[in-house]
Amino acid sequence: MPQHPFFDRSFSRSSKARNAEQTIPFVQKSLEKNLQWIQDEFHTMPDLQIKRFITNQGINAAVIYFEEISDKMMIFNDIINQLVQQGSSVQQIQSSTVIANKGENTSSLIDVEQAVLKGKSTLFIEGLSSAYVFDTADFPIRNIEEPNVERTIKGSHDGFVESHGKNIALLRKYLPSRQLKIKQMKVGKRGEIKVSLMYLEDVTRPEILQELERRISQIDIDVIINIGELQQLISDNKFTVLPQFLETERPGTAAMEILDGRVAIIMDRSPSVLIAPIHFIGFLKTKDDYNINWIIASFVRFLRYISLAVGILLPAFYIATISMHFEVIPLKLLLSIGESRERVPFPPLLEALLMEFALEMLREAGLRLPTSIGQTVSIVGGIVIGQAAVQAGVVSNIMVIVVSLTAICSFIIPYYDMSAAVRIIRFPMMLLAYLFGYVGISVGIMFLLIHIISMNSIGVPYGLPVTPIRLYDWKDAFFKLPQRFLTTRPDSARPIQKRKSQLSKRGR
Amino acid sequence: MSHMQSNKISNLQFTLFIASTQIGLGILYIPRDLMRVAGTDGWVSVILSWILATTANLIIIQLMKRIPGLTIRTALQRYCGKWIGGLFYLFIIAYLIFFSFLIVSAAVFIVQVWILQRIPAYYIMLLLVAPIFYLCCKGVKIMGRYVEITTMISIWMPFLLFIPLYRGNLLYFLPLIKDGLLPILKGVGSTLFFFLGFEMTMFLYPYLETKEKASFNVIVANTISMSVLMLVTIVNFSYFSPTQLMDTLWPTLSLLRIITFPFLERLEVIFLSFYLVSFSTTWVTYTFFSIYGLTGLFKRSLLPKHFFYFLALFVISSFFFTLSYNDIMRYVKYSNILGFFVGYVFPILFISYLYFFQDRIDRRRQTCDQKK
Repeated sequence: MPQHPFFDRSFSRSSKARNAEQTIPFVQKSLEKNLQWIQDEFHTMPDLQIKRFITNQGINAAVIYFEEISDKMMIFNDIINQLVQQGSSVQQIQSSTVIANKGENTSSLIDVEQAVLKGKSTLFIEGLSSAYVFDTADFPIRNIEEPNVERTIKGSHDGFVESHGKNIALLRKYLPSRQLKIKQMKVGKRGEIKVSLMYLEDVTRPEILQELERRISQIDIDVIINIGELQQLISDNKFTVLPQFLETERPGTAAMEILDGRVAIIMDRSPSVLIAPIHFIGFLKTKDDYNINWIIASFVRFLRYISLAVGILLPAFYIATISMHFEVIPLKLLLSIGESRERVPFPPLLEALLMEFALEMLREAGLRLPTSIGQTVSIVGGIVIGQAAVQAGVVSNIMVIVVSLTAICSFIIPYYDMSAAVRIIRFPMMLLAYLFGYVGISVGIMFLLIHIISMNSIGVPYGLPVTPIRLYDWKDAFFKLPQRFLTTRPDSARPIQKRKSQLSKRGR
Repeated sequence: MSHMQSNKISNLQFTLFIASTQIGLGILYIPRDLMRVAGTDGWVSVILSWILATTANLIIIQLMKRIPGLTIRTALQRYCGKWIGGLFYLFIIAYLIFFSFLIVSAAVFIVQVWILQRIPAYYIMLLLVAPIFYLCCKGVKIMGRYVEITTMISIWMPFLLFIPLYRGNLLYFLPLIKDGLLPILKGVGSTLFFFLGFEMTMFLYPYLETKEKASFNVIVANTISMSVLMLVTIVNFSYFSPTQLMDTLWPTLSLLRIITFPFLERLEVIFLSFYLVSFSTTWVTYTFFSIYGLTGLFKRSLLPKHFFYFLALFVISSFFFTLSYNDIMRYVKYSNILGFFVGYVFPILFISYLYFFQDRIDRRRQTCDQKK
């Protein structure tokens, strides 16, 4: 590279800056030097507050914090006021109640920097070579509300919020057990974020936990904003539409899954919690199934399985029948179908794609609109797509029935990720059905089956309990037996403790 | 060997593997053959051939028990020498390749005749070969799971056959054993080949988890296939009259034609398309073990590209010639003869050879190793 003065200058400067960063700055005895360093580091941050004051012994001191993410009342009442009115000497300050109860001592300015960014406040005192960090963090937090994506008729209506600590507290409320352990980790190079694994120590298989820990600690990323990113970074299979973690916003659901021996992954700033390992059938259960009569719950589950099949196969089946195998329809039914298709000039695949895409667009449009405009969209969509398209002869009546039935079926699946996957799988099925009729559909089914059974979730087969078969777990899979028969934990999380009410030696 | 340790299949999977490999093309045409050869007493031959097949299968298990830790290839090359053992192995592999090609082509033929008349054979071949490739790449463990799940989702199919049984006429079976034993013994000749597929035990045994139960599993597997064949035979014999059955090409499919619902007719079209899912286990098993055998023989590691080349050959060959019904039946006959040697004769030969010479060869090998 040519030794141009410009390059030379810029390179040397950057290397100097890097060198400066590498030396760890320590808290100096001089208050002014510390504050100077802080001001240099946090320049152009007007929300940084530096409150200087003199203790009643005449020692200079200062508290720094960020406005609005620290509790101002706490800082003034519990730190500054106490020091101004009570503190006598440096030694006494060190042992005074304020610091002993709430503060932690640090001599690294980097620690101070990190703490202040997280809403804590730091106290510097002239003549001391250490600073005191107080946990006065008070981020604005939403109240606990019922989650929008997972509504329930019966059962508790609480939901997770965007705070790591609150979420852990919510889970603790459901599982007040000594065996409920938390492994805390930090992820992200630029902005650290807390990720916690919550599990029951005497139930969860340690290998699963180790594997999850290994994957999370290997993440190399700036900042994780959404929990979906975390999910994609630690999942087993990349080329799949099927969800590989159960994402729930309800502490009750998370607690039930933890009781089965699964691990809940809680991330700060995220109101949903990931559950792993999970299997395919886990997405077709809800917590509400356990809240109602077992016969009704079994019926509801049966509905879900039917709607899974219908959601994937019905349009494909219709297309295959109309375009290839009209001989399987009895003559009378064929006539009525033919009557409705009489004016439609398109092949069935195009007709179906038109309707499916219109529906998906309507759904996507209605998703992020305010409720008042959303109603307009649904009215326009309902009338235009439902009636005008049929009257104009663009689509047939039966196709409208098929598509709307399919849409309803895909919405019956309780978890959003899975119902989205079902909607995607439908399209290749439709294409195969158009090209190869029923044979295409059955080849599509083969592909889907192979795909599902070959997947793993944290080393546990995704196809459990169907394949590898665990007949004993079927009592809570396709149907649900009465609660008193559900005494063992299902094998789908490979728990080390099989019986549910069994306690470890001193556990409770 | 690490390949086998990480690819264990459970005993249930082993059982279903054998049973679903056996239940393939056979149930679609064997009742007709049986009626031609053995008359209405054909069902007795089913039982007789079941006994024979189970015995042959148990012999294979005994053979595999004699060579613990070895696959059939390493055993052949250890006890028969590199070249003669390799030649025997090549013969088995040739049978597997021939049969896998035949069975997929037959599926293409039936699909084309019954369901997709307007679509060229190579398109159908391309379609059917794709899931085989996908599954073969995943290995034996996933194949074991696949067999399990296909069995589970096609368990309703035999029950569909009870509907025509309701209209059947059991008087056709009377009088029992009317023509003496000879036709029945002749019938055994054709039903014996229905049970082909059990020779996969030779390849699957090293993957098996608990090998002590293998004999029991094999008996269960053969019994499952036998009961399916028995059901199909009885339904066919009682629904069709003897002359009618002899004139029907694919009797089991014609049988389903009579089932109608107010919203559905021609149920055999749907049945056959769905039957492909359970039929696919046969294709996959034979294809996988052909390539597994070939790569083992030529000391190559098993890679997805090998399956790709092999299956691409299927598609390319279907460009140039398509099999007719008579071709398929002729090739089935050839493959049955090959299969007879591989499944019934070869294990007996090999086990009796081992019975006499195994100890002597082992001792000589040991002294050779010590000298080295």
